[in-house]
Amino acid sequence: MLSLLSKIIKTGRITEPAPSLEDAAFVEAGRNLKATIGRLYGGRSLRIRHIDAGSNNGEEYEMTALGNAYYDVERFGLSFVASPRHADILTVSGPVTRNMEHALKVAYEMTPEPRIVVAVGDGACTGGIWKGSYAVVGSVADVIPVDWQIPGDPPAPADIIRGLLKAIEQARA
Amino acid sequence: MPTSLYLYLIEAAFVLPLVGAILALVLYRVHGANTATQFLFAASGVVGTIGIAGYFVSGQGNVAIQVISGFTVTPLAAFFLALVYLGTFLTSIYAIQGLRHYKKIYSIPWLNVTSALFILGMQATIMSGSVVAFLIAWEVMSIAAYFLVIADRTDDSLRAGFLYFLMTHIGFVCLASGFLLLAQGNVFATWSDVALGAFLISPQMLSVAFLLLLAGFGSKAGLVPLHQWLPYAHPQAPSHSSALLSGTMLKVALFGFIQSLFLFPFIPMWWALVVIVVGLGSGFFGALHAAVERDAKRLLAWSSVENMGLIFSGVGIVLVLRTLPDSPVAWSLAGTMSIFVVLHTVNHFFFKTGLFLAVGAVASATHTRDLDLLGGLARAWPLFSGVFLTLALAAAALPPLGTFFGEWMYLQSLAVAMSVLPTSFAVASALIMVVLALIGGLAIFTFVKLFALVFLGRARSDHAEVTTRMFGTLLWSPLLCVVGSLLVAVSAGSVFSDVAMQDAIGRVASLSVMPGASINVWFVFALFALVIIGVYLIRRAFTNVAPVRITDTWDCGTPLTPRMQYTATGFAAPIRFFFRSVLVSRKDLIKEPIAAGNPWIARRRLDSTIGSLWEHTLYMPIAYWVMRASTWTKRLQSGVIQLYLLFVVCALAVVMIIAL
Repeated sequence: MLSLLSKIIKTGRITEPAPSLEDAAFVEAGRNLKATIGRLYGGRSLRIRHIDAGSNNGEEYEMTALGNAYYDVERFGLSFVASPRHADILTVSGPVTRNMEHALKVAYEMTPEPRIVVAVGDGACTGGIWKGSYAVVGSVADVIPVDWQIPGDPPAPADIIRGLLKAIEQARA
Repeated sequence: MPTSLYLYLIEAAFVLPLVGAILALVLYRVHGANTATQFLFAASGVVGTIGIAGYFVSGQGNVAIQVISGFTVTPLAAFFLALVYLGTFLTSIYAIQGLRHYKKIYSIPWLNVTSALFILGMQATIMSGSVVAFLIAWEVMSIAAYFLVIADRTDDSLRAGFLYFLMTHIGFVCLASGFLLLAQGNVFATWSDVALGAFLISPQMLSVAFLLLLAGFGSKAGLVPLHQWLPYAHPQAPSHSSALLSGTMLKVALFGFIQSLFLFPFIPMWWALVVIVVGLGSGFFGALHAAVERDAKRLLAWSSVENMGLIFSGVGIVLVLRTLPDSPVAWSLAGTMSIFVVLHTVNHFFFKTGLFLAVGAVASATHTRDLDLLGGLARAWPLFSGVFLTLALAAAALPPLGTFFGEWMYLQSLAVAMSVLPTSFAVASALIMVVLALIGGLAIFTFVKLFALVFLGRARSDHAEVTTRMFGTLLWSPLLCVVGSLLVAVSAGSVFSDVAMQDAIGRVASLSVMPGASINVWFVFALFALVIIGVYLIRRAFTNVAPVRITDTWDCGTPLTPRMQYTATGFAAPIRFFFRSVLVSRKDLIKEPIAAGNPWIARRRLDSTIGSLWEHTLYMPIAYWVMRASTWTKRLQSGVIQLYLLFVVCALAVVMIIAL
């Protein structure tokens, strides 16, 4: 018992200090986004439907991270929804594979107008390293009209937020 | 029109089906023989209808006219004859095209011979002037109907045909013994002889005769509990014959019942109560089974049980009201109730004939009558679906069709009866009204189901996917039925108006009408039109004016299949649940193991059946005791000839003792 107590006292605190939850650049981008959404859409928030058209899931990790406690994108007026019927923005990742081409077109068709399509990641923008593969149709822009492209393999959450801001501004311009 | 001319027409209508039958046999293998035969049938219908019109127009519409020796046309018979003629006409113009796809299934010449005998039997039954003529004509009609039921010779048809054959002969025995009791054994008695002779019979014997006749006609008209054969037999016949069986033959049974009511010197109240209870019971069971039925034609047959039940309950109420002594109100109400009986008979004739023919057209295009496999026909046949919808509205007794006005008369009479008749009758009226409300609700449910599952949504199976256009002549008969139903609605105006009633009172001395029980038909039409316009305007006012982009349904990436739609079974589930004790519905989860030793790996199948309360409580016990009795009597059958000779001698001795 004594040895245990002395061990506790001797060892002290060895956990790292809590990290600062404020990523200044990200918060800056998010605040801008929130202000823009508030200005353009009268204080209402936007819904995103994400479509994986054949990516290597790098973009999906980053998109998922947007929703976690650290980035907490919902405070900036963005949220993810499960159906294109509910979405304002379609984010598409990956080169469009032949298997997903039809599904992508259908999902685009089902999204109510006015819809904003954002290609996320190098694969979605250009076809990336898969460009020219027999399994790939091409970039997202080859299949459906794209409003904005966010390059990066994968793009960081802050990049995605900035890209979305540009996309919204451009779509409402 | 001179007397002789319309008599010739009625005689021609009697002979023409026979000519058609002979022609069908002479031109056995000739192409187009069916068309020629059906034209002759249709001609018989047209000629007969003109003849009946002549009969009424000539001013002799209230006297009996002898057509040929032993066959007379009375005003009552003329009304039902007109239905037979119209039914013949409507079904035969359908059959010209309707039978074309069935050359391999039916022997068409023989089918036409049977139809001719059937039509003839119905005409002869109605026109027969004596007991023997009636019984023979009735039997010709019944046997011909049996051959129509088994026309496709499938196992189902043979089983249904056997049930029908059995029931119709039980009915025939009841009729024959009832009539013979009344006629005191004189088979050749005319109706007036029977009516005169009935004064000499004791009231107990009269009651027995009445119950026998009710059972005999009731078994043909599909009254509970003798209805069990009807929903199985009627649908098995070719569609145009089903229409004739359900639309017309049931009316012949009704005619027989009403006609035999005039044979009794008096009708005590309890007979009438029996008729009302049996009628309402049939109405309830018919409506309930129709609501949970999956087979489109069988659904219509159940609906026939329901409607015949309503008509018989109306007849029963007329009889009750007639027994009330010195009550002019009751007599007036009896008049309005008779109007219901007449109107509903005509209405049921039109919508049931039309619906059977329409379902026949659907079945010949899709090769199925199962509502769980049909669907989406409205897209392929828009005009036809409109006609079907109108007929379904008529069957559900909704305005602006004739049925609504008939049933309105029923309800209105009950409402008046509740306020003016003594308490016990008022309570009875209220109870009848409750049952009518239940039946009416179930009928609406049934026909919403029928229309929705056949025409809306998407086809529930591959072969129900209709791409061909509808053949025009198949549409004519249902369309004519719609026109007929609308004409009844329009003419109901003059029937209800008191002026025409005065005229009717002049014609039929015993008929008088409650002024309170009238309804202004044009008001109903105007209300109907206003509701439609109102709904349209409200819809327009509240519909978003922004342009709407029409795309497909979001299917979450899984293609939408017809199996995701509502089915007839699913639609009727609440009804099945509420009435499960009456319906004797059973649901079994059948588990067939795939891997031996592992009970979890199994193929599971749901088997759901709807039974019949009457089959369990009445038919099966009787069958059981009949089998017991026959096994017991079998002991007498030793096969030794001496023993049989002994039986003969004993029988002779008994006969001698009784005779001496």
